[in-house]
Amino acid sequence: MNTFNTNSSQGPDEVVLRKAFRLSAPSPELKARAMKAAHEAWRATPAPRQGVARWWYPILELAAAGIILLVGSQINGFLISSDSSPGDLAGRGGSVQGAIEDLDISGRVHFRGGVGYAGSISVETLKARQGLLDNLLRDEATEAVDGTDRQNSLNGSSCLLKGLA
Amino acid sequence: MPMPDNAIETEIRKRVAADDPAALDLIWDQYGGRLHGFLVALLRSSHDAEDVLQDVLIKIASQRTRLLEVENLHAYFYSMARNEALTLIKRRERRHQPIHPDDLWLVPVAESPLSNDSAQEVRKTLEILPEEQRTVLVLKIYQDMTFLAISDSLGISLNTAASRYRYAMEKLRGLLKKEAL
Repeated sequence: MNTFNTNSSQGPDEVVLRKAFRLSAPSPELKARAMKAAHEAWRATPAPRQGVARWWYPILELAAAGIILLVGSQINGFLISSDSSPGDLAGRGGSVQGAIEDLDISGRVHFRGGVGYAGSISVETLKARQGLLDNLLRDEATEAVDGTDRQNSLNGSSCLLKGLA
Repeated sequence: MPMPDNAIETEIRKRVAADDPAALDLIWDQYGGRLHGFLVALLRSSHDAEDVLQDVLIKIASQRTRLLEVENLHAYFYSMARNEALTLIKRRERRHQPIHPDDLWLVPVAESPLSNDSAQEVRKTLEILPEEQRTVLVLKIYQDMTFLAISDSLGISLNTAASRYRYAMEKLRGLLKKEAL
């Protein structure tokens, strides 16, 4: 006889199911056997490198930030030499060409460091902060670019700086 | 008393990151029994469940870096167990391997409210339920898991867990009714 109340709207009672059966339990030796195999697999596999790498991430980030700051400060050091004259800039030779990449017509000075660090600063900011633009755009600097006029110098971007250097 | 899953999962990750195999003991203590029950429900065989559980533990050990990446460890364990079990089921089907009749996955209790015949009918009915419905039913009834815990472990929505349970119970009722006629 089926003892389930099959006519009830509640249907088979989970209490009955719970009381009628239990799930088969794992055999007592399963833990020992499975854990032995798992520990062997653990030993046979190299230690996770991910965890170690994660440890180094902050250090790498700090190092990268340090490099960026260093490069940035060098560029800035070059830019903030407010007393720089074209002659001073020329004296720095390669630094000028390496650090300042472009001076575009919209009035931004683009620069680039040696590790891919790049950026730009508006002429206004530059001017307000250091007055360097005045130096850059001095008549003698413009004249140094093979007699081209001021606008052409700006369009020709690095020509100006090349001329300075 | 077992630790909450979140706390234990943090501890497991710490041990794995430190390459401490004690992580395996934590995994076993926290999830071994639950995964075994889940596998028993899936495979309808205690022996197969044990074999698959061992394979799962081996896989966890040899692919332990993954434990540092996955967000929900217990769902990951259940998913691994399910995949391994489905592989075994396919192998069984390919080789036409029946489950040994003595391999009881659902054991009748001595003081059962059901007669022997009824108990057998109920078990047979449970066995022909779709795997996903049977699994939810077993987790709910025999592992005392809430629908929330089931949905979280199986990576399904709460509604899906509840409806699978409802369908399972309805089907069970329908089939039993047919038996009674």
